[in-house]
Amino acid sequence: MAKVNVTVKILRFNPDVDEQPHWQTYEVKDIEETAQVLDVLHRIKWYQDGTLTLRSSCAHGVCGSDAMVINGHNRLACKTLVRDVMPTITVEPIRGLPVIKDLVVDMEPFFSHYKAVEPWFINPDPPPTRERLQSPEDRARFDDTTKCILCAACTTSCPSFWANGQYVGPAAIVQAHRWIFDSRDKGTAERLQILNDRFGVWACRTAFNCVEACPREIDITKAIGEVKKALTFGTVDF
Amino acid sequence: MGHVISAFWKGITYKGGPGHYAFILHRLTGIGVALFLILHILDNFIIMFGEEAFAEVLNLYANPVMRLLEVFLIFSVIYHAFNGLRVIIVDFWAPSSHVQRTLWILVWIVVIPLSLIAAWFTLAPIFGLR
Repeated sequence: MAKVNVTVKILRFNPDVDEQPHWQTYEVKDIEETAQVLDVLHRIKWYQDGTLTLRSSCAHGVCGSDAMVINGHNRLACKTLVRDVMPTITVEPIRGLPVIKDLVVDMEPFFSHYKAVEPWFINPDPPPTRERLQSPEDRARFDDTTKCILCAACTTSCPSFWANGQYVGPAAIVQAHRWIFDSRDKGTAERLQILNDRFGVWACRTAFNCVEACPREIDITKAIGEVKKALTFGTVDF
Repeated sequence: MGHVISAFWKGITYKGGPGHYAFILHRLTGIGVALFLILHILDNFIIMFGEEAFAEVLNLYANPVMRLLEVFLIFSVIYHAFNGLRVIIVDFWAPSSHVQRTLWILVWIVVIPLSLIAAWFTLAPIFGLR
């Protein structure tokens, strides 16, 4: 396996000592070109500078905790290979959320938007004795939006969200779509009402940054378009 | 104001796809057209000070620099109109999100020739060609 040397520029911020974020450069030698950017960051943290702060968990693109701006574009550090971004790798925290330290941001505003769309099963009917069955076609209707891992790569790449943090953002709309188009759920009208707001779906300006940033390749703008259509025509059957 | 500058900075330094740049240009051309509209209302207002004053102001538009600005204005109007149609299509016809890049190319196929034709008519008098 080919080994390479890379230069890593990281936007660092320590609220205890810094007034403004600043760039710090590290050289990482003899790293496999198929290594993840997350491996590179860990090499820096473990062997060069223990003060570097970042969030990661599963390291396999499932937990969604290591979204960051890598070479100017939102990605998961664990799903980005060194060979695709070398020789100079710039790493910044995702934009539009308050930075706590270095690459760690406060996700609370993001999660409060997520909770605002009531992302849980709503059906007041008495539960049946067995499962609530659904046809494969009805299940396929919202399959794409079940893939979201709440990494915030989409919402923090969205110009509308940068301009106004009150916008619920693409991730929350994706989560709402997952329930709105689920034939077993009865909370459709309620959720559509929540999203029928200037800071709901109508703040989407179709810049497609969310689609380009999503590590799960969800067709987010299409999902948002379907919610807009449901609001415009008053039905989810189309 | 600081918030607007910060959002603008995030916008121009983020490496998005064509949709991102279509979005930025849509905003810039929108602001350009709105600013011209204010100028246009002001220059029309000059007629309140008499015909001569009005003619003098209108003469300013024959100036090469103003003509060049007019070319940008025409480009802005055409781009904003056709990209606006693209956004409407993407908004209300969900399958089009798969062809949004193609739609963006189509916008340019319309905008570039129309802008060039308008530029010819606007700039030719500077060179005595019309």
